[in-house]
Amino acid sequence: MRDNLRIILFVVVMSLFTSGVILGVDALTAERIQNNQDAKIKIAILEANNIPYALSSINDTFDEEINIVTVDDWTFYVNPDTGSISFEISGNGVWGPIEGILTLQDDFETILNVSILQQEETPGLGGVIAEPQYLATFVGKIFDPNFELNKDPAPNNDNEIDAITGATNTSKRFEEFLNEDYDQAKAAWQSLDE
Amino acid sequence: MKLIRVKYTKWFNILRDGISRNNPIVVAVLGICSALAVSNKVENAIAMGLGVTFVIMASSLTISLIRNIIPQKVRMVTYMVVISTFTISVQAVLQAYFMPIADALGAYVGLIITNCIVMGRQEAFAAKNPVKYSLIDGFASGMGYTFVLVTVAAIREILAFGTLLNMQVMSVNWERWVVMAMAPGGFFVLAILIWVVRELIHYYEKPEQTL
Repeated sequence: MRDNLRIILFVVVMSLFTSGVILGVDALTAERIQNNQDAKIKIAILEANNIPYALSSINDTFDEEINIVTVDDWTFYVNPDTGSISFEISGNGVWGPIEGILTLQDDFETILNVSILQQEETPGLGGVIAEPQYLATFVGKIFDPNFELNKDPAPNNDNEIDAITGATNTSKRFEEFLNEDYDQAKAAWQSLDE
Repeated sequence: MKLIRVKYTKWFNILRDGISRNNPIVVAVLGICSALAVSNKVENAIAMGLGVTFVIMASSLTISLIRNIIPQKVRMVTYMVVISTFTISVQAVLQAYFMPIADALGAYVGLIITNCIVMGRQEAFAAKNPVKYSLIDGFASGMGYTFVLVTVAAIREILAFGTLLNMQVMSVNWERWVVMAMAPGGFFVLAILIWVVRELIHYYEKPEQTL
């Protein structure tokens, strides 16, 4: 009986202590982690628009340079100087969710920039999706009316880029949700004009 | 003269054992999952190795400190809770202050909790030894793990991508061994490495006794 009491007491004290440690760490880091997440989106959008920024004043720069337009469930980040439009894209990759920002020119068709904020694809294979060299191949391509990550060796059309070597599924899934999100965002954006 | 004496100190032996004779991966065959998963790029291997080393050392320190008051029946749960606490802390600190590393490691940081090496060292060493030696043992095991991880990663990264730490080391026309970037490549390299190291340290498993 005494032994059991001792065990219960030990477990309670240990739980309180470890919970305390975790709460403490959370209190110290939660705000920074949230800021980092927000900053990642802001950095991606500012870089897509080629707007210079300093990490310390990123919130002010973002508020000054970018207008936020909300339609239905979509949030569009518009650069009033160039008319370019950014919005978030997301979907499932092979191992986990992929999230990114797609920036289009004011025609809502030509790609200005694609950046990936989060992915858990196989490092070195599907993970290539987040590498700047690969993302650069999107620039200047056009949604006509859709976009393709192409596996055949033929030269790419205006709405095609090469798929990732050795990552057929990542390429396929990315292509799918990129097009899906684009269609929905386009519908939302056009409803704004009407 | 001093060097020779170092060889007979306890801490030196613990350190050497962790890296060679008791290497967690090569000899105890623990922590294989993460060793296969994060060993296709050297930078990920280093970050993962350091993360695991920190968690082992911190957990060993804690467990060793309270080793005399942990009730025998709940000791496994105690290790688990302590290890989880440190892993969650490492993850939070990485995300708050070292965002790029946290991004590169993704889900693997959380998986340190399930790394058998950490649990193994608590049960086999920290629960019975004083703080000082538990810390050295944790460090040694962590380094043993890191050493294997980085070696495997170096071989895989060179063959799979022609690079080392993202610097080009093979000719630009290097035909990439895609299989090396995937799980089977990890199995091949790790198996060969385990064989080579076991030959070098003359570690052979005895055949099982049959009745």
